[in-house]
Parts: sequence; structure tokens; C-alpha cells
Amino acid sequence: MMGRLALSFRRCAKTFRKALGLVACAVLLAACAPADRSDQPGLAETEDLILWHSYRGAERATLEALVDDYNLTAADRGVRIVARAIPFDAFADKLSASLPRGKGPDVFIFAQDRLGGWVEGGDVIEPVGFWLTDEKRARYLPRMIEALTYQGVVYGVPLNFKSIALIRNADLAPSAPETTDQLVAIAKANSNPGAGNYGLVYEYANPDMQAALMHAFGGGVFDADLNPVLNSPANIASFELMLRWREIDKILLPEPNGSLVLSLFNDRKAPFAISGPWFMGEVSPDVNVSVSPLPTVPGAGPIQPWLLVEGAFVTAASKNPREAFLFAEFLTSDAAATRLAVEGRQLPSVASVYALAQIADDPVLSGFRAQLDQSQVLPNAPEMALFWSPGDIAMKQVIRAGRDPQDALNEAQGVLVASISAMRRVDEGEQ
Amino acid sequence: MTSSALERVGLRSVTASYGQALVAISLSVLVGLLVLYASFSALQRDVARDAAVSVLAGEAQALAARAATQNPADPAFGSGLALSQSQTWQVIRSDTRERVAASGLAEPLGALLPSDKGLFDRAGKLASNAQTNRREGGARKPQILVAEQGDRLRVTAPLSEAGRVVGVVEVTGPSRLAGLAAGRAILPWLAALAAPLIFGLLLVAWPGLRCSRLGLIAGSALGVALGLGAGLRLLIDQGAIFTRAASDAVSAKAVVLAASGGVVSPVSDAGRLDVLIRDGGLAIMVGLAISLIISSGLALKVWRTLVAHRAAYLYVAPAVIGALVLVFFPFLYGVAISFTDTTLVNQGEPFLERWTGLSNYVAILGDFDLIRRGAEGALSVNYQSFYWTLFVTILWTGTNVILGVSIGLGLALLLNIEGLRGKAIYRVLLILPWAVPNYITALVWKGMFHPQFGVINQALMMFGLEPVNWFDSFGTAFVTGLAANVWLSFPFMMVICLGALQSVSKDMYEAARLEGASGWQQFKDITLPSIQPALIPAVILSVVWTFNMFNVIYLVSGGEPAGANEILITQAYKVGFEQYRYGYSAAYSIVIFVILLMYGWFQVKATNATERVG
Repeated sequence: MMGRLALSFRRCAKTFRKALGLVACAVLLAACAPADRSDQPGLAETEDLILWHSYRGAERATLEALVDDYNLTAADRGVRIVARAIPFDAFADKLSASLPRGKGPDVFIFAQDRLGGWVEGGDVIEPVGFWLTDEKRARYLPRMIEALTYQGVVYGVPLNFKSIALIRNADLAPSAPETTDQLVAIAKANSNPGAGNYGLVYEYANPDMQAALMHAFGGGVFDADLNPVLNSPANIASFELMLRWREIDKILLPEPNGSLVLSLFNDRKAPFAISGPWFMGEVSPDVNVSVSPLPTVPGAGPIQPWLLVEGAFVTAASKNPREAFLFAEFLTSDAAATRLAVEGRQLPSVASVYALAQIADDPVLSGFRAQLDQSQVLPNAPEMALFWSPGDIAMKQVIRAGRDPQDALNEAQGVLVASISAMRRVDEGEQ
Repeated sequence: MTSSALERVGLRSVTASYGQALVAISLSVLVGLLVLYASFSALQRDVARDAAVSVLAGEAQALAARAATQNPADPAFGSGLALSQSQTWQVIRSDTRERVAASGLAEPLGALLPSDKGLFDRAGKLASNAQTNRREGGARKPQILVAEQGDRLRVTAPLSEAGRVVGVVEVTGPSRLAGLAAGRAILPWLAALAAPLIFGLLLVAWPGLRCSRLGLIAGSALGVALGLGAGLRLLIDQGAIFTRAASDAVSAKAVVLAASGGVVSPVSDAGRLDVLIRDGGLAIMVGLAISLIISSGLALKVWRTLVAHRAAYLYVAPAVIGALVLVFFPFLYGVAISFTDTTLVNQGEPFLERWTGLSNYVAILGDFDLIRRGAEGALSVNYQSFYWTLFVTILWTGTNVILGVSIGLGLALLLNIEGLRGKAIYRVLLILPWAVPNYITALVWKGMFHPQFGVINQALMMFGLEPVNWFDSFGTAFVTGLAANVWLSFPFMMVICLGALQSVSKDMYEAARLEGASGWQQFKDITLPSIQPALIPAVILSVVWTFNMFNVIYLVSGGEPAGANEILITQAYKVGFEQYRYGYSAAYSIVIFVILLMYGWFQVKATNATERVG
């Protein structure tokens, strides 16, 4: 027993000595490295600022080119931006996990929808309203700053915006409809469900599509004080309009679904689609595509989709928030915004870009730009995140199970009110 | 140990335990004193700081109230508030971005400087906090910001105009009220130190105690408890005296400020002495635990074992540390937050403020709202109810395990046929589903069940059948998950059964055949009992895996339609990461854990019973 123990201990000690040798080597190397660097004159200590984004393809290439450009000048100030692409699916969770612990990036690009949650959860986003003076704010399109403002405090530099709009095959529908009646007339003429032709293709079972119709009737998810109003008469009217398109006019797909929307539009079997800029990258080059604002509902108002604004947010944990902000601001300089529009096919937040001929004459970018004037900022309060699940269930119950809209929306309203109370810790009696 | 040593063991143990009792007393008194000292100094520090904060906040509010009626630029603006020379104050408007008034500061009046970002942001934060509080009808977010900068305090109060926050008044001053000295009482510490020492000496002097291990344990524990208890008692009085002094100092100032609209919150010992008592109780408990562990000889025994097997403990240390950090800590943290109502918005608050006791468990287990009557009188199931989800989970686990075991066993019996050609090829092919990562398999199955493009509907249409919207009703959506999971789980069962089958002796079958047993009798009386020892652990494991099979449910049906197909673990995820109710979600997970624990316990009992019978 003792002998074996001693043996194993000796073996242990041998391994330990080996490990010690390795550690010593590493320490030596580490000690040499800075010494080498300090010998070279002019190579100052640079500070890396980490940028997180979820761009892919052309957007990513453009952003990385801009980062490289920026680093050429920023090197003089001892700053270097390091761009890291995070897969989109994991992005939100990664931010939620890392921001409260101060482990995240210095600056990241994200839409406004989670801003309220970040702010309410703790001081994780650096306010930038102080640096964005009124003259600077005037450079941006309307509603860009509003989208990145939560409870009166500006938290991000707006980079670009996204909303859905009416996408049409200009060969099948030469002119853009001004009213939904005109839209339905053209759509009906192009509909033939037997042959797989549908006048209007969009994912109408998604709550964010329906929200655009709700806004047309003056409805919406929340009132001005963020109280849910899902079962308001205006919202029910919007459901009835959608159901009329589906049941009576028969211009909608029986089973809405993203890939079907795309394939029907690409196969020239649908004159109209409703979707956003993300759709454009997948439209076949054979289709003569044009984008225009969504039409007006006669007797109500224009269809107004939700507006998503992507901002560059500086994190509160950043060691150098000022430099992180300067980089974010650089991304909205006229030159950078133009490149992001032309090469990255984004819709920049900077107003002056749209005066350039190459943007103004672009039927896609100018169409989405026109839709901006008829849009509503997607609420950035944490309440908004609670809407999706009951909203989705209500849509599916109405469309797939044929439930009465009033009934389905009453239930969704109840669920939403209850989950907001649970989140805000307000007794239901008080609301 | 030699035999002579064994003979002397009686004497040695008494000597050793006498020494241990003295070590126990001194160590536990030392630790107890440290805890008491930390708690008492924290009390003094907090009271002194609170007194300073409440005066500074009163001054800031008084200045803010004055700004509504007087011009801050007026030289007489700050007079009459009895502000001390060591204080500075400034009034900032964030709408016009200027410093309206200031005293004792180097920064000029007028437009804000680039270095004033913090001030501007604090104004935004106070405005934002006011909105949140108004919305929630509470005071969750602070209305006055306090920060410590070295030995100075910075207090920021909102400057309001017509109910809107338009700027801030910021006052800085020393972090201690002038004239409030820390108490330097020596008596409590002496009491806490002396009483146990006297007991220690008694232990030495009392001859009867020397031979009794129990007497030594009791004696040292009593000494520690009495000493620390007396110390705590005296410290509580000291704390009350100190708090009263602070309270008097603040009230004197409150009278001056009240005339100008400054509200000074009184300093009281409410809760503070409770904290001291709680910490004192903790100190006594820790002291007692230490004295028991050492004087009973447990500590020595553990230490000797560690030293004797140090190589072994060294080898397992990384695994133990890993398990502590990666398993036990998260688990205990989950248990802790399951007693709170932690959500996305309040996760930054102190733990005790989020404490709600058992209310999450009551809400989960008391959710009997299972059947609902709709507007038209039709009955519908409330899919969000815990008991529905539990029912689905049990149904899911039961069907999966039954199908998985049957298919696995059937295939194993087929593969076990003697002289089967190409056995190796079949075996590899049948194990393949197991080798593919399960989320990939799950996504493939989800695609196959796609209503428009899925291969299953395409096949149905080929045979002239109507396509099925798989995810639109509970039954069909359940089948999608079931198919994917059985596909994933049968190879494991097959491998287990095959291994067990190959070890069954061929002689038994031969003997059975000679006796005229049918094929079914051979299977029932030879095959099943022989593979049972291998099969039962596999079934137990499989039940636990299936019960918590997050990937398949989440990826294939996603709980569709309308959450009807959620199992407990996916529901816990949705509550946590879609509704952001972390506390509730943690309680849900603990309930799952308890269910599985009970299952495991019963299963072990049942298995032991069968093994004993067998």
C-alpha cells in the first residue's frame, strides 16, 4: 500500500515537474513578447473595441470594408474596431446573457425592439443623447431617433430602417394601387386558385403583417400609455378586412407561408407580395420588381406597417464609450451611409442619401423610403415582447380554426394584460 | 497502526480531544468575532451614510423646489439652507443643456461641457425612472440617485417643471455627517472573547470532563454560544445608541430644510438591528458548527484521510471543482431564484426584494384552471395549465418508451437470428439514427412533416389521400414529435437488447426445445428474464431522457398548436425566455426535478424489489 502510494506520488511529481517546465516556458515567452514590441518605435498600444453584428453577405462585406477604412484613421488615436459576426438566431440571447454581466461588446448593431427590456433590466446601454446634439439629429430621417428613444432617453445611433411594403411585379400590375379597392381589383383579375395563381401573397397569419392593417383602422396593440387594446373595434375591423380578402375575394393563399410567397412571386403567379427588404435579395432577376407604399383602406386610413430601426448601441460596460460612439456615428456619415445603401442594399437612416440620383431612381430603395412616411415605430417597451405569443395564437385560431375574431382577440387581450401585470408586478385590480 | 498504538488508543483519544476542544473554542470564537465585527461596522457605516444621504437629498430637493419659484442665478439662491463649506451644488437643465447655477465648482455656468455627459445622463435616468414608477404605480426605480466617490457622496435629485423632469440638482458632500463619530465600545468584544476562554480554562481544570468526549463537545459549544451571545447582546445596544445619535443629527437639519421644501427622510434603526441580529445568529451558528466539527474529532479525521490519500484526491479535484461550478452552483442558484419573482425588469434588484417565498410553486401547482367554457358554451382545454402539460409529458414519455423499447427489442431479436446474412450492414444502418446529432434529425423530421413541401404529405397525395396539416391539431402534432423521437431512441434500446441477447446461453433454448416449449414460451421464460437486468436500467435512463427531451419538441412541433404540445421542459423554457419570468421558470424546473427525483426513487425501490425476488 505505502509502496504503491509512494510510486504514484513520484509519478505525480514527475508530471508536475514537466508541467512546471511548460509553465516556465510560457512565462518566459510572455515576458519576451512585450519586450520585443516595446523595442519597435511608433507601435503604440492599441485599444480594441469589439463590434457585434449579425450581417451576412453584401451587408457584412460592406460593413467590414467600412471598419477597415475607419481603422486606418482610428489607429492614430490608438483605437481599433474589431468586427465580429454573430449568427442572427443566437444574437439576442447572446446579448441578453452577456450585457448584464458586462462581458459583451463595446458596440453592437440591433433593432430597437429589445431596447426597453435592456434599459428596464439594468444600466447596460450607454445613453448617447448627450453626444447626439440637435444639429446631428436633424441629419436623420423622421422617427429614426424616436425609435431608439426609451422613456425620453436616446440610446443608439440609428443606422437603417426596415418595414414591409407592397412589392409588385410591374409586368402583371403596371401601376401601384392607391387604395385597397384598386389592389383587390387587380388582384382578383390575376387570381385563379385552380391554376395556383393568387392576387396577393403575404404571410397574413403573422401578427406583424396584421398589425399594419390594424393601424389602418386606427387600432394597434397598445394605446399611447402602453395599455393593451387588442380587442378594440378597430382591430376587429382589420381582421374582418383580412378575412374578406381570404374568404370572399379569394385573393389570398389558403395556407400562408414564407417560401410559398417567394416561389409564387418568382414564378410570376402573383402580381403583389407584401414583405420587407429581406425579401428583395431572393426575388428572381427575371421579375420586373417595383416597391411602393401599401395602399389606403377607403373609409379608414393608409395601411401602416411597423417600422424597425437598426441602431448602433454602445454598451455601458465599454471601456471607451466615447470612441465606440464615434465609430457608430461614422457609420452614419454621408459616405458610409451611401456605401451601405448601394453596396449593402440597406435603407440608411441618413436623409441626405435619398437625394442622390442612384438612390432616388432605385425603384426598390425609393419605394421602401416612401413607405417610411406611412409607418408606425414598433414599440421598444418590454411589454411588446409579451405580445407575440398571444398575438400569434389569436391569428392562428382565426385563420386556421375559423374562430370569431372578437373571441380570439378577447382571449389574447386577457393573456397580454395578465403577462404584463406579472412582469410589472402590478396587481390586476390596479389596472 | 501498530498493536501497541491500538492499546494506547483510549488515552490518546482523550488527550487529542482535549486539545481539539481548545482549538475548537479559539477558532470558532475568532470566526464568530470576525462576522460580528463585519456586521457591526457595516451597520455603523450604513447608518452614517444614510444620515449623510438623507441630509444631502433634502438639500437637493430644497434647491429643486426653490428653482421652481426663484431664479437659480440669483446669488441668494442657495442661502438659508445651512449648507456647509465642504459641500458643492449645481443646477442643470437638460432641455437647454446648460448649467444654470453652481456653488463651489470649477465648471463655468452656461452650456454644458463635454465632461458633463454623466450629469446629462443622470437627468435622463431620473426622468425615465419617474415614468417607470408612474406606470407601475410603485417606487421600484430610485427617484434620487446616490453615488459614492471616495469619501464623498453625490446626490442627484430631479428638477421638475409641470410634472416633467427637465434637469437635475446635484449636491456633493462628505460621506459622513459632521460630528457623528463611530462607536468604540470595548465591552462587547471582551465579553465575546472572555466567556469562551473561561470555559476553556474550566475544561482544563475539571477532571471529570477530561475522559468524556461528549462533555468536551458540550463544554466548548456552550462556551462559544454564551460568549458570542453576550457580545451580540451588547452590540445591539451599541447599534441602537449610534442610530439614535445619527437620527438626532438628521432631524436637526430636517427642521431647517423643511421650510424650503426639502424632505429629509428620517434615519431609523428599523431593519438594521434585525440585520445585526441575523448576522449575530449566523456568527453563533458558524461558531457552533466549527466547534462541533473540531471538538468531535471529525475535522481531524477528514484531514487525515485527505493527507493519506492525497494523490487520489488530487486526481479527482478537477472533476469535483468542475461539478461544483458547472452543476451544483447553477442548480442551487436555480433553487434560490425559484423563491423569487425575478423577471427581465427586476433582475438587477437585491435578492431579498425579489423574494416571494412559495408563491411560484403555489401558482404552478394550484393551476387547476384546466377546462374552460368558451363564449359559445363549448368546452376547451387550457393548454397553459401545468396539469395539461404534465399530462402531455407523461403521455409523451410513456408512448415514446413503449414504442422505443418494442421496436428496439424486435429489431434486436431479428438481428440475433443465427446465420443472418449481412448482419453487420444491418446493424450499422440501424445504429445510424443514433449517430446523427439529434437536432439535425429533429429538423429533418420537421421538414418531412411540412404541410406543403414535406415528403409525408407528398406521399399521401401520391396515394390519392388529402394532405394533413400536421401542426394544426393536437393529435397530429403529437405524432410528429413521437415519430422523430422514436426514430432517435430505438437504436439505443436495440444495442442494449442485442448485447444482452448475445450473452444468453444457447443451451437453455436447446433444453427448452427438448422439453417442447413453444417459441413464445422460450421468449417469455428465457429471453425476457435474461435481458431484464440490462433492459431495466436502459428503460429508467430512457424515461428520464424522454421526459426532458427538449430538442425534439422545441424543434419539431414547437409546442404547436397554441402550446398544446409543450412538455414541461419546453414550457419552462418558454416562460423563462419568451415571457422573461425567470423566477417562475426556475420554480417550474424545480418541479420537474422533484417529479424525476420521485420517479427515480420509486424506480430504484421497484428494481431492488424485483432483483431480490429474481
